[in-house]
Amino acid sequence: MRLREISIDGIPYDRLRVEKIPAAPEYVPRDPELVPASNRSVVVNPNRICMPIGAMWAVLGVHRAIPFVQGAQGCTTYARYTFCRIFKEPATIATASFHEDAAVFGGRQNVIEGVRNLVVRYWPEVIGVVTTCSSEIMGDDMVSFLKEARARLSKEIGEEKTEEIAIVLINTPSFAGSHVEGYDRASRAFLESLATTRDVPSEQVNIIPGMLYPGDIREIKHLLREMGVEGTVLFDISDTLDAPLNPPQEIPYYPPGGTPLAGIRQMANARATFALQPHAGGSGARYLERKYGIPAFIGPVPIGVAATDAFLENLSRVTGREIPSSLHEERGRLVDAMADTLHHTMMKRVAIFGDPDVVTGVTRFACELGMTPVAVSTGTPSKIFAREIESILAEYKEIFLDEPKVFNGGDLFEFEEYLKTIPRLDLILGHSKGIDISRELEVPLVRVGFPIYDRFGYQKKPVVGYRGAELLLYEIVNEILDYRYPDDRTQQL
Amino acid sequence: MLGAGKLLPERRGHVVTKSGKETVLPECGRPTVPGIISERSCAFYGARWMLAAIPDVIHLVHGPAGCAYYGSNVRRKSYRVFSTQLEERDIVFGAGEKLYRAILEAVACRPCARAVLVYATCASGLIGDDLTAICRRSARVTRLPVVPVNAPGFCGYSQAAGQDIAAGVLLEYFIGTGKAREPIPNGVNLLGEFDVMGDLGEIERLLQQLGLSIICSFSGRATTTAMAEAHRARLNIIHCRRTGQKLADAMQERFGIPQLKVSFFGFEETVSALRSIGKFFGLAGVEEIVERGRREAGEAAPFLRKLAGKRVALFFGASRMGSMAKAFAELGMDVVMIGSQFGCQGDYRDAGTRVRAGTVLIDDAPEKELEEFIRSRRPHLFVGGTKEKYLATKLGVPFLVFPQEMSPFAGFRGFVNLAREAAGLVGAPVWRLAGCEKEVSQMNEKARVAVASSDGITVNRHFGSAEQFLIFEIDKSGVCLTEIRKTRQSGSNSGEPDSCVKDGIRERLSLLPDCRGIICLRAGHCVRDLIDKEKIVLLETAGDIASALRECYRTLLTAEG
Repeated sequence: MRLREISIDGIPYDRLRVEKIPAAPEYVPRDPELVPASNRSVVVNPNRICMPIGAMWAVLGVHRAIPFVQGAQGCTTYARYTFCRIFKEPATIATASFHEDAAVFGGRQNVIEGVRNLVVRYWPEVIGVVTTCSSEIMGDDMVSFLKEARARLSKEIGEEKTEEIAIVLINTPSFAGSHVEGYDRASRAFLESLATTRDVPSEQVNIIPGMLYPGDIREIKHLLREMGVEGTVLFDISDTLDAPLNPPQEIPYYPPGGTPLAGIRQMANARATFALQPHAGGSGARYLERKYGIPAFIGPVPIGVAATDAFLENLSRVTGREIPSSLHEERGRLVDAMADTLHHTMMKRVAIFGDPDVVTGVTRFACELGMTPVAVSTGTPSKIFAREIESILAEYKEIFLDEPKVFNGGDLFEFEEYLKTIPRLDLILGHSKGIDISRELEVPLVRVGFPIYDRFGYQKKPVVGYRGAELLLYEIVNEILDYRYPDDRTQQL
Repeated sequence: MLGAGKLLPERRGHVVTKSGKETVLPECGRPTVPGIISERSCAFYGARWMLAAIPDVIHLVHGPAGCAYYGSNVRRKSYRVFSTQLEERDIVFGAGEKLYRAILEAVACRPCARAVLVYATCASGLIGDDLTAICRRSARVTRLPVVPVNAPGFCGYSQAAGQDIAAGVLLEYFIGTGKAREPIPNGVNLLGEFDVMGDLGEIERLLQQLGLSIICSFSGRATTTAMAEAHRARLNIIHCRRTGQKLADAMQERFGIPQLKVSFFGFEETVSALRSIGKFFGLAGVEEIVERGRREAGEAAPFLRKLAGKRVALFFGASRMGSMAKAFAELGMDVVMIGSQFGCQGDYRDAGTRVRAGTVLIDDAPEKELEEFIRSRRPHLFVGGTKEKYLATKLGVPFLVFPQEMSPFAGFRGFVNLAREAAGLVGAPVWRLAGCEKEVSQMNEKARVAVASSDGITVNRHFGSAEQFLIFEIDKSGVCLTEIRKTRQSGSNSGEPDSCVKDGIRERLSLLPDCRGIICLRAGHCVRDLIDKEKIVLLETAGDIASALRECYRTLLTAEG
């Protein structure tokens, strides 16, 4: 969908806007009272998912690990669909398959038999047991169930083999938070149960990337390599959820890569922990800090110039390594690209939505580009988010003519209705769920964040680091050019 | 193939191989074994699948954000979803009041809606909110039907339970609520047709040619007004039995509407569907439509050549098995596996009669069993859902997603689409580039392959009528013709299949005990029944021997891997 009219500088944008045809003849304008999500009990088009999927994501980033979901089949199947659609990869997730009897008697039998069946068929090294709303409401005593499951296993396959399999319990009652919190809990659960001894402190650093795509994790590893720093990435989905097509494969199919179990055990010996996303991984880093005194650097996610600078400076301070010239050059190239494209990005009015950490990162980068955020929205309500956004807005005060609207924990209905009321919007930055808004408002959407399932390649293209920011910048600029200018005006860019 | 020993004991009865004429049916309709990677989904999913496409009602999910989020993406489309987004305090204190408020607000947000569907989830089911009472209470205030859909995720064994509950909801609250009673003379309903990628349009085009009009399609085109008129149909056409049968039975009982089970997938099926519908209405001109359809379907011919003899494995939700097996057989493909997530005995019986002996029938296959099947039988094409797609691809097997992704598969034109997409996938360059044949080149031993050819250049003889077989030895370094083995009757044979078919085939097979591959123009079912499919590759093809040998070699290699 293209704008039917080209906005030409000098003519007020709002005069060029095309009057929308109502979706139905009986279309009635919304009651403004009902638009803010805080005024409603009903949520229209949620801007978040529930906890278990975040935990499943985390488990899939561990080498030869399989998530086991203590819930009904849908809790697994929906998540598998979601992963398949986002990553275009198989997602092996086991279900406890709760039926009515489990709802009445609890999930004890399901987990004991389930763990056994999973082990004899797949021989995983790690099982991440993910609970759901049903098992939490019923009050399944998972700790003792898992003890029983282990006892049953060792009777069947021997104690030694049972010992080799790590079982990590992640409590994720769906109603208590969103997917980022599920990931967060997983980070803590894994470290609590596996990183149990600090014996030989090492030079390594821990990286908990949060819900970033394989391309992003590769970029983080690139930064580490350039810095000459050894690091363990916890929940490294860069290979497990972006595996090459390379037959023959072993049986059963396990994707290559993932954080090895031994690596996670060593995380208690690390020099520092970097949790790139405060909402997804922060509690894992804080746990290591409290328990072993390992310094925790929590956020900001290295999207854009300043945040990447901060990440590298912290890394340099902790490890005592200089930031190499190669990274200075990467930074220089990014800044050069920003200068080259400034004319197209400056003063563009953008709306940003998604998970709290990605939204703060992208908002900061948008400000660095001279754009004007007019609305930012996250589906996961958070104090950190409010604080961070506030500090970004304070820092870039001079570029705002009016305060942007911040939706801390709203739904997409509220976001969309708000965007319809503002005089001008040039761009929307957010995930695939925003496509309806983009079409409705006839404003381009640049896809960033989780989930992106309706286009290919975004999972492999980084947005973090200097190079990632450069790619995101080009995406933004080209989308603006595509939408705003007829082809004959772009011949002499 | 899947050795029974490799299966969990609970799973043994669920995997059977058709042998001879009679069909052994797999066990089905059982609870899912815990701890497997199940391809099934929950009852809530089934209910959403049935109801999500109803456009003019409010869909309100009474559950955590996740259920609402997932429930908004159904059938590749995105639907606006309302939800109560349950949180911790709702779980502790109950969420009845919240739901009541949410219903009123939802109606205020979307006042043009004709009804509200309130979906239960595991969470709301377990905290014990009285959905029915709350719906009744809010219906009095909103003056709209507020309908509880009581299908929490844990009920039943699969999405089938939810589909049945949803069908019950449609029957109780929507179907036949219109005032007018007299039948619409040319009106029909389609049951179990979800309009995936334009299937409905294709079917409608054919029905229009018959002079019929669709009143309501459940639920590809089911507005509340259409459903209210549905009782005026002269005939209920069931397209998917799983989702349509229950509705059809109830409508037959309540309104006396006769039913007809048909399928529009595949050429022959479409023809027989049109004929039986035409017969029901006593319509003339069916044969002209069939003739036109034959011309349209003729466009599939170039694709069929590519698909001849290729092995295909099919894995569906439930009752498409039989009709799709037939459609793929019409493409000239060899159906080697057929399975479903939650099919019933009737579905398997139907499917079993339409496949040849040796075909594996599998119920509720978990990921691992599909993987083992792919590895041991290496189908040329796997047909199934998105979840299964990426594993098959990783193992180097082309995958066709069904319900389809790109174009309608129903009707005559749909048949051409099906052929085109299957042909595009099978033998595409990517599989060669991916090195899926690398495994083959590790085959160092020489393999003997027999070719039924009278002229030594092209494959031009049916197995049963071949007067001679050219025996080639192939390995990675190349091909070498080593001998020619003549059948006893050669010379006197006119090229017609033997009168005593079986004996002739046994005799010919006895000539080739050392061959790992047989290449011929066509081979009947008796040939397939007699050879050991584990060890011998049977390739039906026309064309030059060299390329046939190349393909046979490739198949041998993958079979080896």
